Amino acid sequence: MEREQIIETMPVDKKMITHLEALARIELTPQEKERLALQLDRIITYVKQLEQIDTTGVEPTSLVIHENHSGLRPDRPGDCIERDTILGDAPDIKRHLFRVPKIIER
Amino acid sequence: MGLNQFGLSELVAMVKKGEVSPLDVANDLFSAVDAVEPKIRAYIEFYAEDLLDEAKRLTNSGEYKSTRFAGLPIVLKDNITVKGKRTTCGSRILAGYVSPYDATVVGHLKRDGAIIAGKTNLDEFGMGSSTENSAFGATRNPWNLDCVPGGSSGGSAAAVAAQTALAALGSDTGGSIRQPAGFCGVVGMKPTYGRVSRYGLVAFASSLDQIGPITRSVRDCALVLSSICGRDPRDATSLQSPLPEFEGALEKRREKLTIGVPWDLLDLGMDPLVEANFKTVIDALERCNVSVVDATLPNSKHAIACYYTIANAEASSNLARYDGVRYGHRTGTYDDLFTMYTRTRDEGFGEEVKRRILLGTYVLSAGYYDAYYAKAQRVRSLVIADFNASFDRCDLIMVPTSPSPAFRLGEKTDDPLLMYLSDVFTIPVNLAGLPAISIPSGVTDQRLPMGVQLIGRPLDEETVLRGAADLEKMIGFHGGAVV
Repeated sequence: MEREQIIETMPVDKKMITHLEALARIELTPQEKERLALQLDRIITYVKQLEQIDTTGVEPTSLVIHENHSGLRPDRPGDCIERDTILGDAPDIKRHLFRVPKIIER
Repeated sequence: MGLNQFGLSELVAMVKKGEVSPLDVANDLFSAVDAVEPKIRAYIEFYAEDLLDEAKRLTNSGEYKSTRFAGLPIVLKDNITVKGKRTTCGSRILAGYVSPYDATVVGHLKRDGAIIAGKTNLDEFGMGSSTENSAFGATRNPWNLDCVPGGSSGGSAAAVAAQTALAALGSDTGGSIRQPAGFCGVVGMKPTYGRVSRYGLVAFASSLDQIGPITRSVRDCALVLSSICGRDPRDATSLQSPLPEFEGALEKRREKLTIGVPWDLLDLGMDPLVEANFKTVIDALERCNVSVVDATLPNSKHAIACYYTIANAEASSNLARYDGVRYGHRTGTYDDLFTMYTRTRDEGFGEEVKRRILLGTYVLSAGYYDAYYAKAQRVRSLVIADFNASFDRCDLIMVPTSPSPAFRLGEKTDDPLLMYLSDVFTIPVNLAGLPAISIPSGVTDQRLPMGVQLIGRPLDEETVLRGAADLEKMIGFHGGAVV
């Protein structure tokens, strides 16, 4: 019950979108923000139909694997892609390192 | 008449008999692409030079004769990597990215003597049902250029239908192979989750994504499927189960099949033309060696809500990797790392992708996780249990592939929820990880194709293909759009 109240009091408005932008590391333009708030609110309203389904005692499914196997393989070194090939795709490198803006102040 | 008008398995037989060479086929396909592609725009990149060079080399050396694909071309949805080639996923954020490795499926196709001839258009990262959400522009439906080809593997389906490809691979997270196959009048199959390795498939929603063939016939589908399936140490979800000889399955003497029809799912509504076509198929089946029984999938009416929670949650996590550091686009103006991330992602992603990342972030965020994501995972268990119960009474489940034929470009782009609802008959299959195929079941009086979908038990692609081959023969659909 408590959970449902939380949902009811938190619509997807522009404030919520700002929160999600920060979490998802996306910066939207004001027009995008306006439009997405309305669309997300409508989609979330639709998704809320899940609340009405009785799932008492039902286990969640995160993955459907139709056979019994661990998925693990022996931990042995193998071939890997050349470092310079990987670095060739990077937008900014210095020597053999990816370069990003400074994150530690001196 | 160009050789590109023949299906893949017919051409393999002709090439092996020495009637035509891989170079003859390559030349005709190249001419067709040259003539038709400006109208359809199915390709992001066509490797004309690679195709002609490799076909010439194989033809001269004769080393194609013993391979499965005999030196014939196959094309890929552009979210599957080929070493040394660009992979765009239909997104600006991967600008300039060149893949340093082959996807496992690409290795299999090459091993079996196929030439990789190009990359087809898609909704950005597979997110969409119309191939309109591509940074490279929309693909057109070869049957009607004002209509969408479906999506997200719309480029693959359109190329196969327009005869500018013999066969293609797509990927299917919520119907992205089967729905465009239905809209374009071709065959599309999503195998059991785990049958095909996803190593080298750019991840969208990892618990749902699966690669599969798009072809002009069920036989061609079986041929391609035989090549791409199998355990891969590089994909921990790929299965070890022995692989049947899928083409052989088409020849087997068969017991009477029982097909279940889940009327409760169909009651959610569909276009009257689709409904009439579907009933015609049922009538015809009953006259043949098939018994049609009632099935029930009561929880599948919640599948779309369940899917858009789970798929977007997984997508928001998978797409966190696009940060402008290691590959792809990086914004030009930034003062600090945070701004570099946020601007890069705003500039690089299209609107639908942003919508889904934000939705996924929402359902996973503190205070909402249990209410949405964990709840959707429980509903997913109910959807699966319905399928298990239904398969006690039938070998296959049959539904239309989509509730309507292809819609017009722009018709649903302003209303994301309306677009999502068009996946109502394909999404439950992904949630349950089952194999399913869409085959053409007829055309409307407006000359738009419709598809019917057969869904099988886990790992039972054989019965799906058998049933589809019977149905294909019975329907007698002779596909191929005239552009």
